[in-house]
Amino acid sequence: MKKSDIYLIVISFSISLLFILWITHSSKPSSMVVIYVEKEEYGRYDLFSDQIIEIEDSNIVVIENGMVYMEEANCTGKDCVHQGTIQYSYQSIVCLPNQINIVIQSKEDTYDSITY
Amino acid sequence: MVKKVTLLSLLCAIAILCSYIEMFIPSPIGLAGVKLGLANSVIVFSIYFLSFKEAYLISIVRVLITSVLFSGLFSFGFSFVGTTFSIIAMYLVNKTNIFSIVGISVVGAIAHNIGQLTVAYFLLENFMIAYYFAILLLSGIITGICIGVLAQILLKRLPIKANNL
Repeated sequence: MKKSDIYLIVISFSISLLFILWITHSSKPSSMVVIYVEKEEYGRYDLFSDQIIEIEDSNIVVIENGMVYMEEANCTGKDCVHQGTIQYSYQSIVCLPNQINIVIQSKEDTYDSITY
Repeated sequence: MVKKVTLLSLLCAIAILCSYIEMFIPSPIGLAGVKLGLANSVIVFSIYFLSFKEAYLISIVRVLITSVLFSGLFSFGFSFVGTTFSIIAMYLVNKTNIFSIVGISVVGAIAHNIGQLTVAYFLLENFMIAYYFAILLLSGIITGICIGVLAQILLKRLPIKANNL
């Protein structure tokens, strides 16, 4: 280990930590679950009304008690199912094989921009 | 020549085995992509000892074989871009001689994440994955340090020298 290694680690570590803090702290109270499928907006749902959404065949998204999780997916890896629940804004569940992206947003957020 | 081919295939086999073993280690926070990257210790090691071409060959063969055997062709595109980004970055950083092997490994991990984010962005065309990326980046730095330290131990313990390969 050289001194430059330490600098590199400290700097990159703090940048990514700041990045996470920036995202979480700049979020407004969020109540929208937005699902994107293949780059298109698939639907918007209220985070606080429990519901089950089926995307194509056998991809099941569950909204329950202000939390969202993927109940079932038809991909091979099932990473999205294992990821568990999300509840804060800008958290997302991504299923890349099916190109599904589930994001929690605040109501004011427009389709393709993050407004802070 | 024979010696070299043997060494390259041995390193390949070790890398593939590392990927296989890693499949049994569950991700600590349940996010896909947050993993140790044991196979990278082999790649970091080869960047240090072998030429760019040889190190790149090892990682491409590893990615191809692990995709076909275990994770499916979808992940091939991901790993391919990630590996390419990471190995080019590590090679360039190694040339400058600023960092030790730990620093090189961290740079490789960061570049790997950037490569994968690029693919994800093209697939989803949506910047809402920024949060996901930030977590991947943070975990990548931590695992990059671990792998770098591991590679450093390897370098010390293995009785080989760069000039007789």
